[in-house]
Amino acid sequence: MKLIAYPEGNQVVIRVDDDGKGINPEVILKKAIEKGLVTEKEAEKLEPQDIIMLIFKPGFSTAEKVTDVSGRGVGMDVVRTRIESLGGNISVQSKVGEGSSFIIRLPLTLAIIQALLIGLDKEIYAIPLSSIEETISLSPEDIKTIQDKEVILLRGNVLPVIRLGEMLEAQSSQVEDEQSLYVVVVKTGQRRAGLMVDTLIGQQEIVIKSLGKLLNGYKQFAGATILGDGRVALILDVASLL
Amino acid sequence: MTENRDNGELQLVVFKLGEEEYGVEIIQVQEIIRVMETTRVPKAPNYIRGVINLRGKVIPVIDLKKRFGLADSEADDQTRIMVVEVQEYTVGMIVDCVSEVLRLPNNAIEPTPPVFSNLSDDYIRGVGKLEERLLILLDLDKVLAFSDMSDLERVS
Repeated sequence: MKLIAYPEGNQVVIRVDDDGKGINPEVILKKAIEKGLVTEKEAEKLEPQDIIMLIFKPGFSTAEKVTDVSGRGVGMDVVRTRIESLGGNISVQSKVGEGSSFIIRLPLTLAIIQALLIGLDKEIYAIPLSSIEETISLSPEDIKTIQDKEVILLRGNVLPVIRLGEMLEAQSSQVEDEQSLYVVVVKTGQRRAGLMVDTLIGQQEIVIKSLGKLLNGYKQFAGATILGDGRVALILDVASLL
Repeated sequence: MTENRDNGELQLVVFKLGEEEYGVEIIQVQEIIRVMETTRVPKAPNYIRGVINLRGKVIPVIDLKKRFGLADSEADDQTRIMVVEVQEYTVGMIVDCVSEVLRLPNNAIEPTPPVFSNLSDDYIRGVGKLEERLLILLDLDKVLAFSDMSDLERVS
């Protein structure tokens, strides 16, 4: 049994791994059909991953006998409902004979992070410091293209650059004849890229606030924060930009 | 709503979009504030004006006229943000002016006539008649429930 927890973007991930016998999709499916949770017709279309998710359905249980603690098909349903009521989600990965992992993702509703504030035209955005490697300034002629994609050479490595202003449709993106350009080198997993910004404002501790349910669909923002002057700045989610 | 029904009347906050008068139930209105600077949310649908800082809470602001496809106009000193609470959303709505709070007897409310073409019928709960005036009663759940949420998902 292993318990792992780590932050990812604006979420906390809690993983519970075991090395038990795993979840056998065939067994689950058979039980689910028996209990009338799915029809045989629906069952044909289900992927193994969907089948495993059936364990969260109310009324589902593989226990043969109802005991004090198990067998009524309530437990996993409650787990899922509770997690979803917190704005999180749960997923399961399992291999028969190797074990299962339950992955719980919970939102960071109130969290303070270090961030770099950058300016695009008059707008201010925050980039979490945890996804920044460095910031560099370079001149326009340092930008080369490979198959129409803009790149720079950073200490011998090719680094793709993204014009953040264009990507975020800021009103005026940087002026071409500018003497120096600011690039924030960001990374997520194995991927790195340079985000070209208009100005670097500085490093600051910020409080992450949720954008609310209405704007939850915008994965490129991890949330928003309120700046010293009361303005709202959006926090970029680097992982979904690259 | 049912309580109001029992009393035989609805208490409404009346606001204007262009020349048309609209009403929403007072219970859904949290507060009315002056327009303030919004922070644009890139790639959001055009009716989402941005987000604002409402006493430390970040809430989205919707341009109701754009939402309904009505003619745009400049903000003036009458323009207000009406903060409403619908289900679990707190949302600001930009309206041209908030005129009054009034009570409307239920028997003055008629079902939506089928002529509202620019405003999808879904958003309208009915039309309130008040002497010579007509109030369009909005169903905020529908206005904000974003069946067009797919817009959002497509963008992201």
